[in-house]
Amino acid sequence: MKKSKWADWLVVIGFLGFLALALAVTLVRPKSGWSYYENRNLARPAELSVETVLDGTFPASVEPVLQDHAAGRNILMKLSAWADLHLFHRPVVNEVVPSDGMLLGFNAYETPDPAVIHNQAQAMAGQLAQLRDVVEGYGGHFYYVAVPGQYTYFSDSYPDFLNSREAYTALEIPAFTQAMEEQGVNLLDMGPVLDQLGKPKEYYSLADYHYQFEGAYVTYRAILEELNRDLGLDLTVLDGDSLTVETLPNPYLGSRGRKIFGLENCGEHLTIGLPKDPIPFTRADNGAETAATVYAMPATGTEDVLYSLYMGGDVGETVIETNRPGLPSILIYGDSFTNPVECLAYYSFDEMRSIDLRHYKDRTLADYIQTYQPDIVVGIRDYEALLSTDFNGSPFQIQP
Amino acid sequence: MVFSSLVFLLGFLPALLLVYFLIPARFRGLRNLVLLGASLFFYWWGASKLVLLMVLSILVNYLGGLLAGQADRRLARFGVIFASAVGLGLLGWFKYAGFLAQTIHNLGFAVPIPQVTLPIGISFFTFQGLSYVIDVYRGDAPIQKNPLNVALYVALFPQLVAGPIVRYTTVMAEIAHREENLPEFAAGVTRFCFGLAKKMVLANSMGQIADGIFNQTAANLDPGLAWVGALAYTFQIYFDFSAYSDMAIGLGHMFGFRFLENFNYPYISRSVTEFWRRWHISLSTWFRDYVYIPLGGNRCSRLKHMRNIFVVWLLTGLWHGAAWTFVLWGLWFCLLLLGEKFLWGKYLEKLPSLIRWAYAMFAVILSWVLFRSVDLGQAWAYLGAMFGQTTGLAQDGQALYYLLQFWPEWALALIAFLPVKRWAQSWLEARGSAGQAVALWVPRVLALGLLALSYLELVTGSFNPFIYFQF
Repeated sequence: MKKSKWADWLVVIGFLGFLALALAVTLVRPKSGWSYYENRNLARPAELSVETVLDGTFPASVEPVLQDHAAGRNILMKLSAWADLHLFHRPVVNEVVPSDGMLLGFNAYETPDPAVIHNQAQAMAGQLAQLRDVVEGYGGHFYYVAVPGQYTYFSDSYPDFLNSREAYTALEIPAFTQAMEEQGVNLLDMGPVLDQLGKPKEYYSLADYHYQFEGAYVTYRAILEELNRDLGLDLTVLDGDSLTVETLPNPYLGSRGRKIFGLENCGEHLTIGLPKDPIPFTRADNGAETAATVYAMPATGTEDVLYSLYMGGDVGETVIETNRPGLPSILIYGDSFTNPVECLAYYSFDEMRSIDLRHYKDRTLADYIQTYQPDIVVGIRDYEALLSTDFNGSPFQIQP
Repeated sequence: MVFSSLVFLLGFLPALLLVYFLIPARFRGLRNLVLLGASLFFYWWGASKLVLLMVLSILVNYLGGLLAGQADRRLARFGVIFASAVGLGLLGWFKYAGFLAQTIHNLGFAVPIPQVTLPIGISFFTFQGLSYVIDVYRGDAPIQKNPLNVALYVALFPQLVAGPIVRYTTVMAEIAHREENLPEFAAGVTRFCFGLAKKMVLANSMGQIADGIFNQTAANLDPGLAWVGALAYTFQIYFDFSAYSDMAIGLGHMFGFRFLENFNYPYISRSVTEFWRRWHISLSTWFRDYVYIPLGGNRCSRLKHMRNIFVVWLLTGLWHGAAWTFVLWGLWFCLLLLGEKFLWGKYLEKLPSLIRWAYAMFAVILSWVLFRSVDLGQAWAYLGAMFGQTTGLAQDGQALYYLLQFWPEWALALIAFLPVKRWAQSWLEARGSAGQAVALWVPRVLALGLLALSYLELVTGSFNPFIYFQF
């Protein structure tokens, strides 16, 4: 056979073989509905019917399904991320910015408009003032806590050509602070608190948007101390003498690390704090009694742990009862930034309720507060969510 | 359905190849029938019930062809007029009715603006069908009495939705008698894989950059960022469209068809005239043969010659889209071509090649800004930003980000727009048997590597538009 014929056969067999193999593996591969690393549901085809075929719904749904279930997808995604990280050294990989030994989040470029930010701050402060009025209407106390996110805490670590949102934050925080002052709503901004402490690197995660246990502990402590000071309470504040701090040996897969398939995790571990003098309590999630724990401990010392270690992740409503009627009750609401704070806060109250605004949709926050009338209501939002009414950020509305 | 999809690669193509090649070659009619059925399915998959419109177009062109080939010239002329009126009427309704109504509305007349879904590829299959009828009328092609053959010509899936615009005379013999063989199939596979990779790796990356920049407020862009966006779109449109042509030509080879080339490294042109000899060749030759020459071409007075050029470029602009930006884009090229023909062309030829190339690329890049902009306002603001008329609010490192983030693709793009493949092939073939062996094996092995890379991009990426589908 002539050389050219060999070459022709090679390309034809290679081409057809590749397509046949990819098709066969795609078809026989066990199907999963969930992509762990992407943290999302995988696509499913539209229902097959004459109607969906004729109106094009079914054909349109097939490509995303094939993409999500294609042969070798997980390996290829990992390979692609590896090449982007180590071969091409792209500044952003899967919306993650590997910089300064950290995995930061990519922020879309923006041109912050002071007037828009001012208006948003005024509107949010106005809504929070109304919520404060609801709380104070039955004799409760309302506090609002603003915590920096990872992009703010490590803003200096972004390359100059990427957006660290410094310009946005520089407009947002003063506008919000001023608006809250004007409305007379108690605001605890953790930014200056952390600045005063010298912004220790270990307080925030290198590979996740959230703070580390240390950052959460400082926040917890600042809240409790403010409550004691303002309200003349004597709430127990767990400290070095009353808290056992333990760092888990498991590798911590932060949300950024997860996005790049665990190829980098910055060598981080998660820490938990356990009271030396534990108290009995009961816990109910979304109305159903569940295990009386605040940490979702891993089964082994080697498996990856996620931020959901704290409080078992994001739950619409959690109620922890410590059955000590002499102590006040508290509602902590917000999003995932509340989780590690709650792991400690329950200890100081008779009842601790927790609402994750993104997941709780039974009623508005204001209605919820009016119904249960907790003695103290604390909202915790990070700088990114501070002015946003998305994901039920408005206390008087429920978004579907 | 698009070629750069898993549905096509893992489903449609293997299934069609299997069925098609299981039928012995002597049953040519059956093979054609399979190809026709597959082509209609291919179109239906993406266009749903609009496939009926294409079937209507086929029917009209078949009847038009029957009439156009009659000895009675009145009847023949009626055939052409009938096919043109229905074909262009449908094109006019589906593509231009909204634009026309909007324009009238903007002039202050209260007319309803129809909301019409544009059938994909309508401009391509309308022009293709018309070329058959006109060629029959002119006596350049015989009447095709078998409606299935006309249907196969119009609907043949490789070139159905984004060209190249195949002339009936190019494929009429192949529809009836063609030979599918190993060398052709292998050449087709190689060409297809290169086209697929060009699309998945280069066009999509450049598209992400262009979309990221063009979707911002144009007046805020700093000049560097505006130029990065314009360059990215310049690369995107070339790699996207030429990739589709590569894949179409490659698929044609697999099934025994030889479509003519549609691109010939247009970005190495040293004048706008040369650019249009190298860019979308099947469209420019269509307009040349069916509009420009019938109007008199250049064998007439200078004024009529200029009018002919104007008409062709007005229609070329409108063919690409129903918007004033496309009209202006066509007129921009009209002006440049007239200028080169009557004013500065002879001076241009005396300049060094590099300067001529820079001039041509400058003109082409500016034209793509018009082409990409959603309206004249954006086009004007974007062009202004490129030349410093900007608020500069977006001076935030984005240009550097887009260069660094996509540096491998920029580097590849800068190589791929040049005829490197042609140079390498000539160089290797001049090196004796060793060089010839490299020239034989490397493209084929590379093609398989590119297929794997494209599969990776398909499976892991989500940005995969085909911009020429809108035409």
